Amino acid sequence: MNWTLLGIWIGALLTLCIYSFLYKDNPFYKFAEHVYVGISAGYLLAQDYWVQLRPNLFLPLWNDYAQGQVHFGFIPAHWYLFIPGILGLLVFTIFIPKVSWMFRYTLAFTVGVFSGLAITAELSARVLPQIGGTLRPLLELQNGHVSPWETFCNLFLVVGVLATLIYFFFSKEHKGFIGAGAKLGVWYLMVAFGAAFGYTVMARISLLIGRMQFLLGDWLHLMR
Amino acid sequence: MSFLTKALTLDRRWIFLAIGIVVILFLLIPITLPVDVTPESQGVYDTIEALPSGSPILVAWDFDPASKPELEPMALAVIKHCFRRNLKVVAMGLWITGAPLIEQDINQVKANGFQNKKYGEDYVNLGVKVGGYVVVNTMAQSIKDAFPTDYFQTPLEQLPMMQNLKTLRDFPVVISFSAGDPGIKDAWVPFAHQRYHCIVAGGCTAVSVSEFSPYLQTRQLSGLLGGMRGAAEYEKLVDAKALATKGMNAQSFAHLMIILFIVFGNVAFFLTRRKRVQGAEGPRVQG
Amino acid sequence: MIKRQVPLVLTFIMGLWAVVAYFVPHRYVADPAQQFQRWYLIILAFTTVIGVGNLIMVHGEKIQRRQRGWGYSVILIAMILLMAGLGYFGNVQEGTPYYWLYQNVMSNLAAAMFSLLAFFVASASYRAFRARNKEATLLLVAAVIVMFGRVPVGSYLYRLIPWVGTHYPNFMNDLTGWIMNFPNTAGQRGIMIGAALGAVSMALRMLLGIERSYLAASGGK
Repeated sequence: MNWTLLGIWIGALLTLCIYSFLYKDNPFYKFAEHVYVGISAGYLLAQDYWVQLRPNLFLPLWNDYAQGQVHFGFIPAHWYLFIPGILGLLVFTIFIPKVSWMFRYTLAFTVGVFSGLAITAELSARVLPQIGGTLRPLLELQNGHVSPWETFCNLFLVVGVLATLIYFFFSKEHKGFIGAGAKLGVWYLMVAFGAAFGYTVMARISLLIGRMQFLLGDWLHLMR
Repeated sequence: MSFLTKALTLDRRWIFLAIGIVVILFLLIPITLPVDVTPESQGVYDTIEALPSGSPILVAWDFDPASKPELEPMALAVIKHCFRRNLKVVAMGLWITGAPLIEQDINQVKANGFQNKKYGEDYVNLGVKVGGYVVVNTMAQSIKDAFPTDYFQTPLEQLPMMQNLKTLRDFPVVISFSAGDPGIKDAWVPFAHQRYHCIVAGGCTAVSVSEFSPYLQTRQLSGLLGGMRGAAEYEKLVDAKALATKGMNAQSFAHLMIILFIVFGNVAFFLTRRKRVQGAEGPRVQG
Repeated sequence: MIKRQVPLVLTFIMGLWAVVAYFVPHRYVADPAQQFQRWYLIILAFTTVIGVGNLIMVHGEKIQRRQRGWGYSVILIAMILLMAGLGYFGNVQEGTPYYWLYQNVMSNLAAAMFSLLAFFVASASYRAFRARNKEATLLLVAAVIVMFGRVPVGSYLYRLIPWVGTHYPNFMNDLTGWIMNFPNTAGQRGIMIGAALGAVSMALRMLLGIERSYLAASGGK
């Protein structure tokens, strides 16, 4: 049995089932959609065990017992791993209304760690360096002379960042100077969104090209 | 109903068919237009090229099969470049759905001229870990804390290459192929680069390119491969033209078709609007 | 107190520790912070199980009540059990049935699902993208320049234009690059700074117990 060839055929037929949705919703598409959701969920469960739980929680504890690294005859050297194990098991209390409040301890721990790291990360990577990157010389020199184009570009960037920030400042009404700044900010945002749209089109078409390369190349052998 | 009005109310399935035909046609027609290399892609190449032979490099597969057409070609080209430069590659990922892709891609590169590369000595696959930037921050103090074993469940102490690679700080360069979060934006730039001073470069799906432009300007990213175009540029730089280069043909003409759609749609819209306005005004009454 | 105050205090302590560890590398601060991060990775694994469990419950109920389309729910649950079973009791490496299903079924379905977007973006470009006002026109012009300039055929066609194409062969590439490096960067940077400040303020609100909506997920008030 040529499993590779069988796999390619199954992949191609499932792809065509998905594409049948472009004509209209139908049982083939629904079948493929449910297969996808089911297999992804099953995949996650298995990977979760092998890459996350087993090496980080079960193996260290198992090895402690197997190698006799225990205190007082039963407490493993990595005893502190019982804490995340218990916090993890508390997640299942969400299904029992009477004790579902226990889940808050797990949430509190994870939200605390995540948020604490996020504060310093956001400030150190997105706020301060980006402000620093905007502090460009408003008179750019090249070989001792003012370069008009570079100067214009720097000014364009600085004004653009300030105008965009003014647009997002909603604590004051957008009238007068603030209104003019906000209007200019909208123009910069329109260019940014236009560029983003252009790249989004590229991304989506690339995904279609990838699928067609599979169908025409691996399945039908029409591509060289 | 006039032709323009009919065109504006065209069943979208005809548009689907048109785009499908254009992509299929230009994948089958073997013309190849030259791809110009952008400074951003050159930046990634120069970052890897500047590393001395034998240096360690951390490569992160932060994508899943849905983003394979854009990111896998660049991953293959970059790994080929790393192997050619005899760099010690430590592969890992932050996306659980992309775990098998790492070994698959490395094996594909090995099979094409790098059969001499030995696991544990020339490259290691740590597998994936879920946790986003918490994983990266944990690796900064100890890789073993985040990855006690590699993808094959081998303890890291048993891998010769990992003897001298204990923390993230042992890697001068981190390359990430990022399909979204977690990835370059929220994990590698804020932690690996900003906090632990690794040079970060990489590739992203085209959707993220405009979002990452500010990082290029501040040099928080030393280079960026953007989508399939970026992959094609890197294939040209390492002289290994493959799927991305072939795909750019279809990409070019699909873009042209969409530009035509936009232009035609707007022309039809404005012409029919003018007719509707003229019709509403009615004949002028002379008094 | 044990149901409300203690979790809030725990959030504060964990968050504060993470912030302080950024500035204080001493092992009495950094080592516990490292340990807490290891625990975070372990706890995340349990939340994945909850997500899948919820999916099984929803579709199980659909099957039990014989609701419309319950047959598809049978397929879904069967696939979950098949894939999880093959992974748990076998292995997840190359050469296993689990890997074969990943490679040939999951991988192809994921790629196909997302590739549908190409058709919808083409349809939206034709039917909805209209230059109704100055701002929309600016967006449209920027999009067209980027779409044209970032593909090989764009540079190729531009270079065919008499005189301009030969005297300024890189203009198309340079114009696209300039749009990305200046107006786009300015706009995206403004968004980035605003979003980052918003994220920091939200994180601070959670640590200080002002924002408590995340606790409501556990069925509390």
